[in-house]
Amino acid sequence: MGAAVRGLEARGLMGPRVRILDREAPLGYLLLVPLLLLLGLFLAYPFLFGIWLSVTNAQIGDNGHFVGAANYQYERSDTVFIQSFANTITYTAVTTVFKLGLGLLMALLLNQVFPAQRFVRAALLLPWIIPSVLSTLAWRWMFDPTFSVVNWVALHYLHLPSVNWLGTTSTALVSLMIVNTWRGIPFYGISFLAGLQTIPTELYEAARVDGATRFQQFRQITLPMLRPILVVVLLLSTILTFGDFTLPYVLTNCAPYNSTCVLSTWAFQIGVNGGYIGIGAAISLVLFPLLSIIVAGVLIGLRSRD
Amino acid sequence: MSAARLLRPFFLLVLTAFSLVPFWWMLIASLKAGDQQLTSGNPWWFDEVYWGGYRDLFAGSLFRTWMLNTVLVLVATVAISLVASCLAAYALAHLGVPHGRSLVLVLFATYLVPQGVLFLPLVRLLARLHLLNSPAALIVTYPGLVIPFGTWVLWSFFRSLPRDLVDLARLEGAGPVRTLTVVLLPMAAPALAAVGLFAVAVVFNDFLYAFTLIQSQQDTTLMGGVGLLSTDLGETGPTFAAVMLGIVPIALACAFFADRYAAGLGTGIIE
Repeated sequence: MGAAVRGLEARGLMGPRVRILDREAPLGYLLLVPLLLLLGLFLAYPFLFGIWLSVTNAQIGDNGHFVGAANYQYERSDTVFIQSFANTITYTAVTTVFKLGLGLLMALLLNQVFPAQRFVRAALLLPWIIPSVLSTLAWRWMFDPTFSVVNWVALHYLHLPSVNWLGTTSTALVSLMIVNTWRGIPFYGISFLAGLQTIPTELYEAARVDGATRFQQFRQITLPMLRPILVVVLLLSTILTFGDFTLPYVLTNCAPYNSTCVLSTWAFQIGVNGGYIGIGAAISLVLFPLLSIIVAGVLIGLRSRD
Repeated sequence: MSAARLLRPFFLLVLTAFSLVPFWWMLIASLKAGDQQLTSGNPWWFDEVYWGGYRDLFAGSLFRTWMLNTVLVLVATVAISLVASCLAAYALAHLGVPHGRSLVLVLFATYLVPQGVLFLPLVRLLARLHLLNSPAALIVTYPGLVIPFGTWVLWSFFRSLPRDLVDLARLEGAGPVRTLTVVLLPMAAPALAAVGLFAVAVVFNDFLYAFTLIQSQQDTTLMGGVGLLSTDLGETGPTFAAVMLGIVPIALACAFFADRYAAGLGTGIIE
């Protein structure tokens, strides 16, 4: 770092520059332009357009016209929608608990010296940075009733009855949750590891001198120090799991009998396969106000505590 | 204490095995003829190694195109996201743009927008811009999913650097642009790696956009292509061969940046 500044010094005065690059505030706004352009055009605009679609009776090939809250009202009497809603909540809640717990365990295990460290770390991260269509496809074959490799193990080694994983309502939802947890643990693990590595070791030494047990150290030092990163990771992951499309679509696509639909896949079925764009948009948006309120609440609560 | 000493490697082993099991299965699947999977004895081992999947992968130009498009989209998304996030984060942290914290919060809130509501309007917009059905459709869309996170990580990182550093560079006569490129960016390498890794994960996790914004088999990525294929057994060979040859190396290369990721994420957020 020092070298860089000294390098600038050696070059002496850096000569005349374009005026705008000297004045900070205009330059600041200029540097925001790429972000605003990309997010405005490819996020904000489609979002607003999507909100508009959700209050029209648009269909594929037909712009439709304004129908007020009719799409949202229609959903209330749709049993598959209600099932999807419940599934989305269960799917998100259960997987979040497991990802949080196992991610924390992973971070604690990784935050120490052991042989083949880099390889193990890379291996543990792999599920998160492999295309999820492909890994989910692999899981689908692994769960397949006719030649399920999961059942093969149960049958040959554990002498358990075979399970039709994706064929029955309850096990299909469990399968979805297993795959989501499998994919999600590393993001938690690696982010928590980032947090753990910033905790000064002196804190633990001091606690040890005071005779604190390992569990006490974990409660009193590790968790509070992890809090900022924990909240952010938890929020981001919860939001993304709520809207997850890839995994439910590739693994079950609502089968059997629409019982494993989540909001995103049901919206796709209605909006694209059924052609009712307006209703599809309304289904996608139904959780948006609720999620926004929860997230705003958490963030405001955090700021007031700090 | 000794119990804990034994438990740690045990848990580590179990977690690693859980992570890697599907990859082992994909390797096996890539080395089996499609219908052999149905009949053969042990699904966790190859009875006879069948290279047809890999041969099809290299023979068919489709898979080659998909891999090339995947890499193109990946590199472009990472580059665009990094540049946009970096410039914005610098502006918000050090160039006196007011309400930096609120802006970062608003950016973060964009993750609340469900992708399911975006893709139909995007199809319309991209068609009008003549970008539909080409990798460019994904290259302009994916950064929107990375930039909010990227700006937030880099903003936290830039703010965690001592203010004196920026002032000193200024005193030495460096303008704002030089301060960024010569002084701040070299220090931000871990944070940049963290954002890059996140970008890779976002691109690889997407299916909805790849599936809906590119509908021709010739122009799509591996992710979209696999979705367009009927997922019958005959195709698992080349599909998982592509995973083994193309995707796992990319992912492993990224995973080796994991240390960087941890460092980059950690320094910024815990101020």
